[in-house]
Amino acid sequence: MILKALWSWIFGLIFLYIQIMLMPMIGIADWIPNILLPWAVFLIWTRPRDMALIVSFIIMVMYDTTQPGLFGYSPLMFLIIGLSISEVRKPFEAESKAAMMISLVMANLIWFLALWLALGITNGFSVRLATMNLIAFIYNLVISFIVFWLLYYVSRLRLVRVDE
Amino acid sequence: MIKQYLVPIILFILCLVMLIGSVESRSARAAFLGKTVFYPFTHSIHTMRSNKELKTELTKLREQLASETLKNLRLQNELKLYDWAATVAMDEGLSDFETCEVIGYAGAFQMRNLIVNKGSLKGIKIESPVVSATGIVGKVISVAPTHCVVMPFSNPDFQMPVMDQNTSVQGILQSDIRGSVSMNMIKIGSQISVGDTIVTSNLSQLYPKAYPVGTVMRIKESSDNLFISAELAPFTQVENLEHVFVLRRHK
Repeated sequence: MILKALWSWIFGLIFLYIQIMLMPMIGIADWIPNILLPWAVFLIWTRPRDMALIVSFIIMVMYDTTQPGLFGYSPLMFLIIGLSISEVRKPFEAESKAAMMISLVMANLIWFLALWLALGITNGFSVRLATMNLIAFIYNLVISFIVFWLLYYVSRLRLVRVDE
Repeated sequence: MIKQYLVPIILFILCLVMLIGSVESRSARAAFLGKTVFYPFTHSIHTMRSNKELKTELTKLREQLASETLKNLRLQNELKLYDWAATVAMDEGLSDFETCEVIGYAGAFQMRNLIVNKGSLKGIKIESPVVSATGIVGKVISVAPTHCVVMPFSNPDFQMPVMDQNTSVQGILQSDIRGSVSMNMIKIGSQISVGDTIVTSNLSQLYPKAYPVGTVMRIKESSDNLFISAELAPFTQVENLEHVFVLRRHK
């Protein structure tokens, strides 16, 4: 159990470094895609809920130390996303791909709605903000799908050794 | 029910503790965690970021250095060209010439001709004399609109009248297949000695008079004992030429 949590944390740490160091390179219009979202969704789907929430909480607190102005925002959002997904997935099968897709869309939707609200309250709601948020949402959703399914299929790879 | 949601509740409270307060207090909390619990992480991120910035700066500096080197090279070339052009222009009677760059060679090693980057479009004609800043080079033997072929004096087919600058002793400039340049057909008894400067002759229909050719290195008698010949060290090294000047106005 502890080992699984440790592996999840190390995996999350790798994603965190990728998010901070590499993702700015593929940003569009000042928006840096967030690959921690698909990672968190994957974590919720593959680990016990509490373990997934704790690991994602630690990783997001670490992430927020690099943007101290909103310290605590990301862990809170990931907590809400994690709880929502764990509730939504209950009626579905454990390997339901449709449910996974819905979770991904939901995670992105919650993240961007919260972002839109936060930016709107601080800077004022405008058509430009809504448009930019929508473009960022679509871009992030595409990246999320790619990352999530990569994770999904890579995690199912097995090395088979046959002795004849 | 509470037990089921105990972990999320604790995490939620922790999130609120982190979020509550002004931007300054949040930043202070983040800085505290960054300097204590997450020090390795924040330190590594900081190191990687500064590394990245240094790399970017290094790339910019390299680009700047390359640009400055190219600029420097261009200025050096312009200065060289200017010096050469000034040397030629100062010579008497050579007011009109075309500066050309050597762009290739044609022919076998000692029969080699030069190809230069200007041709009939620039007013160059066959038989136009070609010189460098230090001495004569040869003559144009073939012209195309955008380039021409120059036969240098080191080609055995090239001949021209030359003379001793001091005594005006006349002779014919020729090269042999080994690349040795000589002033031949000098009458026995003529006043010519080692170290004398040889220049173009007043008899030349091609070149302006007294343009430098080379210096006498050795004097020897011809096999028929009728003439003597002087082996020359030419002022211009044909194989090292970058630019040449094709004269437009014949003597």
